[in-house]
Amino acid sequence: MKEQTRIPTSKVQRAAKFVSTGARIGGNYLKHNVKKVVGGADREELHEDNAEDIYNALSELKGSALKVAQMMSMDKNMLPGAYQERFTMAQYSAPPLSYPLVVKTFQKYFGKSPDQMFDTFTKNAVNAASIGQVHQATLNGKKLAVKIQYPGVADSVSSDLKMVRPLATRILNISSAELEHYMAEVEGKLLEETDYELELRRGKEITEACSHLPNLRFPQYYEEFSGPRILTMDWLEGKHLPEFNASNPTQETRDQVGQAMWDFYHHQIHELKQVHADPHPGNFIISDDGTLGVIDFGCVKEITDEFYSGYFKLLPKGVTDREEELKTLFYKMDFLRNEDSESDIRFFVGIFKEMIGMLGQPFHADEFDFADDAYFKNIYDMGDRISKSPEYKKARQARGPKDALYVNRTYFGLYNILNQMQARVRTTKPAWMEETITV
Amino acid sequence: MAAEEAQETKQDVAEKIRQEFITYVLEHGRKPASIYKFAKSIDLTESEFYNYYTSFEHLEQGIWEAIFTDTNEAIRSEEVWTSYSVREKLLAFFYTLVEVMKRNRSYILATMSKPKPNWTPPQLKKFKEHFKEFAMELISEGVETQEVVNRPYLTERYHEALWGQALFLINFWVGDDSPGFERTDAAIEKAVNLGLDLLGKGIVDSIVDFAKFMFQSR
Repeated sequence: MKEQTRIPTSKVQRAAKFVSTGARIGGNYLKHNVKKVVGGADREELHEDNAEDIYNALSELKGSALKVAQMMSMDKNMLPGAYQERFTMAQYSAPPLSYPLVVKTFQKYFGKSPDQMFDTFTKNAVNAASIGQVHQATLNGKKLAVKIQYPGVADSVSSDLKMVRPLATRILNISSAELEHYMAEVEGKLLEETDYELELRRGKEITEACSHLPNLRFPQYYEEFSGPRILTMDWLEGKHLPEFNASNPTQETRDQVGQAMWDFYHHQIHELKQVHADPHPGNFIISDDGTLGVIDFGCVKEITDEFYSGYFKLLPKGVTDREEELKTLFYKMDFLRNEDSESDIRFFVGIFKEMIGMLGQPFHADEFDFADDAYFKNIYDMGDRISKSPEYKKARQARGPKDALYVNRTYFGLYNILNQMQARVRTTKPAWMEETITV
Repeated sequence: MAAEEAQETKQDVAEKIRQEFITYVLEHGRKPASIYKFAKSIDLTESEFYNYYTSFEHLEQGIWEAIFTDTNEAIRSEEVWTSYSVREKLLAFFYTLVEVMKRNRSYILATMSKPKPNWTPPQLKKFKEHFKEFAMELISEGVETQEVVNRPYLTERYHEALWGQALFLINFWVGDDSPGFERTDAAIEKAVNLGLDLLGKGIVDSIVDFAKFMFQSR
């Protein structure tokens, strides 16, 4: 009897965890933008109290822990908008590296001090990245951005994650086993992020592969001034997203930048099968003519064919009407399992169908208006409804492919940014998807 | 002129003795059996040896003294040195110290005993004396630039705190197994920042000041 109640509930939660990730993001931003249309005051207060504790605890952490915090705040969205903003700020206020350490790092990789390598080099950092800081340099009249990593970050990724683990299980109310399911993926990605040589290679690759897309620009990378812990690229002039949004751009400019963003992601996901999986506002710089600059290729997710074929089959309109096909897909992707009972399946299919229909909505028409707060409110309501269900609160397991973690993060990040930007976008689809729609 | 040359060679011989001693310890895993034997192996008589060092303990201190001297010379030869704040000077000292120690890491690992609180290994005696001078120079500079607050009774003891920090960092480096000793770099950064924040004007000063005011205006 006990067994009976336990299993299905846990599945509800697994499912719910998977949805709520994105669902809540929309909600937060909505709350932030539309001033608390959802949620009772109590709940809001509770959130704030929790968030304050969490924020205080997390702001003590540096390096990869900060990165995880950022990711959790984005993925799981358990932090209300205001705190989310503070987190974004935290990224810009990690304690700077002292100049002697910067010099030492240069000595170590180039045998020269920064003064000897560049015409000018700012002694203080002009910007902080989550695992390093950015100095501005000039050489032969060219402005450069030089990113320097905090020492020992790569080495401390694993231990930092261990530190966040108990906190994360508590905040997210999931078992450590479920967390493990995600953490392995996160750890791998974080370690990649500490490898600036890899970032340089990927930056060059993606830049080249995307160079034909309109209204996009990328910095050029300088291999001769880069190493495992130092990365040198062109300095891009322009505004960060929040500044851009605050500067009241015309609808036309918003749409143009939004479209560039959409095209950029579309091309990576469907053509390159590897994607800049960090659609964090700090990674984009918008110039005055409405060109989108993309910096920071630290986090790139490679999409396997197996995952791709399953995941994106869920997006076309009408897929939810073909239940048998859908079920096969669900089994393949680990949303449904062989040991599931009839009623489990019914329950699950119900939830997933609703989710998929909702999250796939931008794909169902030729154009989608991301300024539509009602859409985000619906997503949030759905996530909220599922997360409030008693089953959700009891269960403690995960389901779904771990590959989905970063792909989801990418999409939710993208939706989110487009929503903040209030952009209307032609939602292009891959060729094969157009076919399925017309059939 | 002649005296200067003699001075030069005297330093060279001392340097040679230190290097041979380090080599001996590394190759044999222990100190030489006697000064007589060691001196003979490097073509010196025992009495010549005493012109430089009077015992192996003295020689070991000399090795650490050289580590300090090399560090000190290296940082002062940097052009930016004079433009550094006290905090940056201390940071530069430790970063350079780590580099200098790295050249003789095997020797240091072989001869360093387990760290104990409030205890300076005997071979660091001379190093400590030099460091004290260096620390006091930095502190008085810091008092001038107001990076360090002059506190009655405490100011004279600041250098001891800095020595504790130096010892902590040396031991941290000895036990560091991260690639490129990156953890030590992080430790230096954090320890020095904390140290200088404590030496600088802080909340405690304001509390003391306020308490004094309240007491006096009772």
